[in-house]
This record gives sequence, C-alpha cells and structure tokens, in this order.
Amino acid sequence: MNKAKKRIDFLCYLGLGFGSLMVLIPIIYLASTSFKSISEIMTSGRVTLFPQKFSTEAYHNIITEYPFFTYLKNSVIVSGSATLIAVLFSTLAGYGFSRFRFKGKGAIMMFILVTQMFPAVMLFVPYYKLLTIYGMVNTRRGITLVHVASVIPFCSWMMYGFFNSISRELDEAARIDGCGHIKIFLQIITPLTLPGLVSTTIYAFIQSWNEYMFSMLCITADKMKTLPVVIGQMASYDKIAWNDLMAASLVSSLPVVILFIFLQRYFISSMTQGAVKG
Amino acid sequence: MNKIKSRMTAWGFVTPAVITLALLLLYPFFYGIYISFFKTNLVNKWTFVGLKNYVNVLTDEDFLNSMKITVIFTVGVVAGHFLFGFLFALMLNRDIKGKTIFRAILLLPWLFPEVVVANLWRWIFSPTLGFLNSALVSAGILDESISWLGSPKLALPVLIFICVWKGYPLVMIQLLAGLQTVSSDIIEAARIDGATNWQVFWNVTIPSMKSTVSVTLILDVVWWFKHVTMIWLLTQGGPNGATNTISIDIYKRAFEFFNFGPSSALAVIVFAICIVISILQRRMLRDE
Amino acid sequence: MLKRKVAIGLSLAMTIMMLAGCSGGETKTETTAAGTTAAQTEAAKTEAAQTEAPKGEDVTITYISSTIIESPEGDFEQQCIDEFNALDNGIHVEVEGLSANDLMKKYITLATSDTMPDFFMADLKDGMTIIDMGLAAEVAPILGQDYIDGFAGSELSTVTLDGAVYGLPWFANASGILYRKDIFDEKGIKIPSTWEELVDAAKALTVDGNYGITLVGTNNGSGAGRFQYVIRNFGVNEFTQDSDGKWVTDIGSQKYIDALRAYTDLDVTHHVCPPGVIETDYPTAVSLFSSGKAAMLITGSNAIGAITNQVPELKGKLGSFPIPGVERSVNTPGGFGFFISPGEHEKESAEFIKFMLDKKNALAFSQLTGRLPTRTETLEDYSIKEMPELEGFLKAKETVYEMPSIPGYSEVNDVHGQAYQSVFTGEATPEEAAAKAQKRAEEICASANEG
Repeated sequence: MNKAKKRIDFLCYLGLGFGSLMVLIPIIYLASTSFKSISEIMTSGRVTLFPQKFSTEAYHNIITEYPFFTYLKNSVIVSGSATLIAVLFSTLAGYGFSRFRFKGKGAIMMFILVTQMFPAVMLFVPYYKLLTIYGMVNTRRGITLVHVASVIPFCSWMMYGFFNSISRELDEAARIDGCGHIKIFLQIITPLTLPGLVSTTIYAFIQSWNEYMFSMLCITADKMKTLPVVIGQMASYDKIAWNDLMAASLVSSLPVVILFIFLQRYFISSMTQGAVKG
Repeated sequence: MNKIKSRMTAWGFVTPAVITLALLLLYPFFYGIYISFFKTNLVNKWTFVGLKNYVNVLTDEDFLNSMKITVIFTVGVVAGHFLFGFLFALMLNRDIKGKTIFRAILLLPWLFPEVVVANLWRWIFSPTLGFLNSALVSAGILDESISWLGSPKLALPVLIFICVWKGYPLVMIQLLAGLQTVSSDIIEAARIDGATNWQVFWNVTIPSMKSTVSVTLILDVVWWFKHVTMIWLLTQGGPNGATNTISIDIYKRAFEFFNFGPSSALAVIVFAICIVISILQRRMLRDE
Repeated sequence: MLKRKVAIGLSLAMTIMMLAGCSGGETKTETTAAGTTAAQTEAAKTEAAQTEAPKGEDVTITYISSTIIESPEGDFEQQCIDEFNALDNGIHVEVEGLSANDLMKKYITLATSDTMPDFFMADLKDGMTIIDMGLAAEVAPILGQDYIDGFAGSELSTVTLDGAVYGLPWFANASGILYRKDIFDEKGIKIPSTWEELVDAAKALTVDGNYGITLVGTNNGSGAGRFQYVIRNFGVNEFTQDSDGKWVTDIGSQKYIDALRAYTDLDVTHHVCPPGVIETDYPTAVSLFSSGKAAMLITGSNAIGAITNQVPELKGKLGSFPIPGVERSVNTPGGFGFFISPGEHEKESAEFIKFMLDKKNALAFSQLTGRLPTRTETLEDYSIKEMPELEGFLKAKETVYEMPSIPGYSEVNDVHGQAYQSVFTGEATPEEAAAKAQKRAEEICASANEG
C-alpha cells in the first residue's frame, strides 16, 4: 500500500512538474523577450531563451510612447465596476434561483444559458447600436455594461451552485425565528457563501480584465482604451516590436497574477464548496 | 396570497440580472436574425432576399469543410481541456507536498489575456525568429525551421494545442472543486467494502461528479465551438483555409467582405447547432 | 411584507440606476470626460442649430486615423494637429487612433449607428466600399474643382465613381521591389529588369542561410496586395466592364495562371524565400529584410519609413526598382486618403485636410516615411527626386493600373489569398487554384451585376 502510494506520488510529481514546465517556459520566454533590445531581436541570428544583453528599452518605450498609465487606469475602472455590478446581480439571481420556486424559473435559467450560445461576432454591430442609443459609446460605462452582460450568465450559475450547497434547513430555522427573505439573504446565507463570492469575483474580474474583441470595437478614443485593446493594437499592420509587445503584455497580466496568488486559497476552497452544477 | 408575495420576492432577486441581459442581448439577437433575411451592407442597402442567404451558405461547398474543421477543433480542444484538466485535478487532489505551488503555476494560462497568449505563441512558433524552431534546430532535432502555423497539416493541431494550453485551467478548477466535494465518507465506506483504488474512482468519484462535469462540458463545448479571438489572431483561418472554422467564416463574411446577410444566416445556424448540442449533452448525461 | 417590497424596490432601483448610466466606481468628472468626444460629434450632427459654436469659440471636429498610432507617422501627424490647433482659426481638431486593419470594421459599426466622425482616414482600396455605403461626401463642392485638379491623378481613380470624386488621397504607395544595396553590391548582383533576371538574382542571393526575396504569404490585405502587383504586370485585369456595363473578370485566365505559377515558384520550385512564406505577414517580412535574411521585398514605398525607423543603420543602404513587367509594366495606385462625412463640418474638415496636404507638410511627411506625396506641386519638388531609395518607386509610378470600381471588391483579397496559399502549400496546382478563384470572382461579378 505504502509503496504503491509512493509510486503514485512520484508519478504525480512527474506529471505536475512536466505540466508546470509547459506553462512556465512560454511565460519565461515572454518575460525574457521583454528584456531584449529590438536590435537583438531583429538582427541576432541566434534566438536564446534569455536575453544576450539585458535591456529595459521596451519598458522605457511603452511608458514614453503610450499613455500607459491611462490604459491601466481604464482597465482598473472598467474591470472593477464591471465586477462589482456583475457579482451583485449574479448573487441576487443565484439566490433567487436557489431558494425560490416560481413560474418561468426554468425558462429564465435556460435563457441565461442560451445567451452563451449566440456567436459573439454577430453581436458586435448591434451592441454598438445599442450603446449609441444609450449614449455610452466610447465611454468606460459602455464597455463596463458590455462586460457585465458577458459575465453575468456564468457568474449566476456559479452563485446558484454556491447557494445550493448551503443547507436549506438554515433558511427554515431562520424563517421560524421570524426572519424575512432579505434578512435571511443578507445576514445568514450570504456570509456563509463568502468564499463563493470571492471566487465569483475573481472569475468576473479576470474575464473583464482580459476581454478584447468587444472592447476593441466599442472604444476608439485613445484615452478610453483598456490594456488588451492596446496590446492588440501593438501587434498591428505595419510592424511588431516584439519586445515592446511582450513588455506591455507582462505589465498588463501581472496585476491579475499577483491578485490571484493572494486570493487563490479562497478561490480553490470556495470552488470546492459550490462547484458549478446543472 | 403568500405564494404571490413569494413569487414577487423571487422576481425581485432575479430581475436585475435578467433585465441587464435582456437589454443587452435580446435586441442584438433579433437584429441578427433579422439581417439574415437581407442582402445588406447595414448602411444604405437593404434588399429582402427571404431564405436565399440560408440556401446559399448551406449549399456552399466550403460549408461542410469548415463544419468539419470546427468539429475537429472543438472536439480536440475540449478533449484536451478535460484530459489535462482531469489529470492535473486528480494529481492536485492528492495530499502531496508543494501542491499549492503547482496549483498556482498550472492556473497561470487562465490569467493571461487571450490577446497576449495568442501573440506569445505566434512569437514562439515564428518560423524565422521563433524560439521553438531555433531550439529544435540547434538541438539537432530539426534540419531546418518548420512553418508551424503556415503548414496546412500542422496549423490545426498547433492551434488546438495553444487553445488547450489557454483553456484547461478553468476546467481543471471546476473538476478539482468537484473532486473535493466527493464525500470522503462514501469513499471510506467503499474502501472498507474492499474496493480497489480504481473501483473507487470509477464507481464512486466519477458518478458523483456528473453534474459538475455536465455544465462544464456544455459551456466548454459551446464556448470553443464559436470561438473567434485566438484563431483570428493566430491564423485568420489560414493557411489555405486549414483552420477556417465556421466562426471565422462568419467573421470574415461580415467584417472582411461586408456581406452581413449570409454572415448572419451562418450565425443563426451556429446558434441552432449550439442549442442542439447542449440539449443532447444534457439528455445524455442525465439519462446515463 | 414591507421588507419584501423594499427588496423588490431595491433591486429595481439598482437596475434603473445602472441603466441611467451610474456604474459603480466612476466619478462624475470622468464621466464627462468620457462623453466629450462622442457626445460632441453626435451632438454636432443631431442638434446642429444649438451646438453651432458661437463666434470666438472653437468648433471641434473629430477624425479617425490609423497612422496616428504608427511610428514615425504618428508623431508627425500629432505635431501637425497641434500646429493646426494653434493657428487659432476657430477650428479644433481631435483625433482617435485605430489600427489600419480595424478601420473598415469600425466605420461600418459607426455608420450603422449614425456616429461617423467628421472626417476619417481609410485605405484607398476600400474607397469604393466607402462610397458605395454613402459614407463620403463629394469633395469638389467643398474644396473646389481647382483643388481637386491639383492631385497627381492615379490615386484619385480609386475614389472616383461616375466622374465624381469622394476622397482626398493623402499619401500614395507605389509598388516596387525594395532591395538591400549593401548585399547586392557585396555579391555583385545587377538590378533585374525581367522576371527571369529576378529569379536568377534571387537564386544567386540564396546562400549561407540567407534568401533572395521575402514574399508576404498571409491571406490578408498585405499579402494579396503584393500578389496583385505581380498579376497586374502579367496582364491580368481583375474586373472590367464590357460594352453593356456588365462586369467580367480576368481572374482564372491563362495570364492569371502564369502569374500565379511564377509567383509561387519562387518558393515552391526555386526555394529562394525564407521558410514559412504562408505565415510571413508584413511585419515579419520587414524584419526578415531588415536583418538581412532576405535581400528583396515586394512592397509599397511605405516600408522604407518603417524599416529605417526600426533599424536606423539601414539608412542609405536601401534601393528600389519596379517589379519586372511581363505582359506590361503597371503601377498599382495605393495609399491612404481622407474622406469627409456628409454633414455639418465639411468645410472645417476640409480646412484641416488641406493643411495636412499642404506642400510643406506633405514634403516633410514623405521624407520622414518614404510614403509618396499625392499632389503635383509636392511631387515636382526637387527634394523628393533626390531620395535615392524612392527612385524605383517613382519610376514605377509613371504607369498606372486603373483600379476596378466594382462593389464587393473587398472580397477579392481573399480570393487571391486562397489561390496563392493553396499553391504555396502544395494543396493545389496553379490551374486548380485559378479555377477556384475564377468561380468566386464570377460570383462577385454576378452579385455586382444584380445591383
């Protein structure tokens, strides 16, 4: 038994180690490219994993040639507010689905799932028309709204799962004590699902932070652009300065990675608590 | 009376999300269906053509081909996600040292934006300046650089590989979470009854994860079936149409050729296919 | 019971709040800043009377540009805008940048919701699509026929429909082959003037892991554009109108097959291109060329600016010659131009465009970027003629290929792209690829003839 366990553990380490390498090497290469100089990339015949000469030229470029901090600020504001609204609405919806039986519930849940199935390509033009009608073109509010709509479905299902995992007996007990729905929701059930809230929040934030296509089409004003839009734009028509591109990529991914490293404990444990279920 | 009140409260909870979705998605949805009956550039030319767009796209000789590519792509990517997601989830579910570090590393691809991942791999696979070719050539594995994304035979597998790399972490987390909800009591009980590890896994763990798997699977299939961003950034459907999935076809018809009618018709078809897939999957997973 | 009502009320209120545009975290000032540009354009259009700026206050006009986010073009353009705004002529210009690949996507989206900017920049090859959609105003009534006559000619044809001109070419791209003078000299290679000589030169240059010529083989505008330079020199007229006004196509003809074979043979038979032709997009081709891995590059003159900007050491080491003519030797007019949206600020927009096209600015722009000027007065300036790397492009520019003004032309890039890609990959012979291209080209004709 013990020997078998050791053998399995060894295989696990092997598998995990290999997986980690597959993940890390490209990311290391991303980081290392960002520290190469453009002349090394363009003219050096040999491609090396690490820079032959360490250079911070790319970082200098992205800060001086672009209003990089404006983009960062836009990303923070858009993702922050999109996450806040999406999580709020999804929590309410998840609770509603989990704790009430009402006519049309199945249909609405189906509707939410179905929204995931329409090809995004065909949404671009009508989305834009809608934002124009609402007067939100080229604004952070507009793009926030679009992000909210695109993450709500999955977040609602997530929260539905979390609420389902909390015993209904608690509600019953509270109801007998004379608590109303709001009180039960706010004071009893929601605190219990706090870890679930955290993982829904992380999910929503990452989706919104990384979203590219819609943001690209909804924003033209330079001062409203988010980071992925700018990265997409850097790899454009005329030339690609790979080191600048990789530097911008790294800088824009780093906040999420750091945030996640701090929160991952909650994330995993809460995912466990209420795995998404059908 | 009480029942009505309860229903009202329920609606109160659900309304914000539903209204947001309805406001943003219903109009685009019907607009998409509407334009599929027109020959239009969306600006100043609208000619009603009835079902002609549908007939045209369905009888287009390339339709079946891009359908085939889409199916291979989707099956490949989703299978990859579940294979690696499940393997890593199982390994991470064991009580071994350093698993938090492994878990954090293995989740990383999920945290990087699609546009970053696509560009990064394009850079690694680049035929002339890329790291992979250079490494393989200097290690003597290859005689000369390979054009990975430029070869009709390799492009689709490479694309699938990249999309698996990008997408498996989300599946892994879901499955890991599912694994951890499997009650240890039942497993203990099974063990005491003399079940082997394999039997426990097959007869206890797997069945109790069915509902987790079902939703994850449906969403994963649907997401990747209609995926655009990564493919567009990596190959634009090329080389010579080798990665031209239906979604890329929709995208090209709309935004490259400005033929919005046929493009919408295809989109509606894809939508219908996604619905059918999800209904079938649900039924299959439920009945088993 | 009361609480329940509060609950319902609360969630409704939140929904309404959001719809009214209050989205968490944003402060008031940001919201107004955000709204400025869009609101201004929009307001200016819809409520003309009210927003007409009172005397002494600037009229703000907005435009969309792709060059503004490119380098070195962007810095120059921004400098022009600043200078113009400092003129104090009652017009204030604001610009929004967008990648050239995304321009048309954006314009369609903007046009469907009636929010086009006052004027905008576009690739001249999309001129017909833009005119067809009614996005551009005729320019003669705004600027006067005299001004229009000041354009050198060839570029205007891409924005002319039934004799009316709808766009103002800003810079032109002549087609040609850019070569590394230093490498040519070192190997003692003469400038080729026929297709055979081109092949021979490329073969001679393919030594020591370096290659003769880099082709852009991606299936997109930059790939298809270069292929078009070649087929046109082989005598292919992509689309022409017969005497009844019906569109017919030359795509798929014997000439097309010959051109396709000659082009793809460079890689397939002669192996004079760096590996991965299909994957080689324009930026990759430029870096292959800059690093010396390839000694020639089929391109528009605009590549010069991009290259010398990225690798300054190459200044003075570049030369150009026209693509060898086979059946004939023609130049494909290309480049970017300005289009004015019909509406309130046509005159103001024209003012700014005139400023950009003014001889001094146009000349400085050409010298900086290698993009050719479009107006006769600028072209005749001696300093343009003194730029050695432009020589071949200027020579090529003397003969012009009439761009077809067929609606649906946007799809032709993909038709060509599929054709050469299927031959490069060995999946089809030139004949098979040409047959498929012909079928699609005929569909485009049929659709155009339907009206």
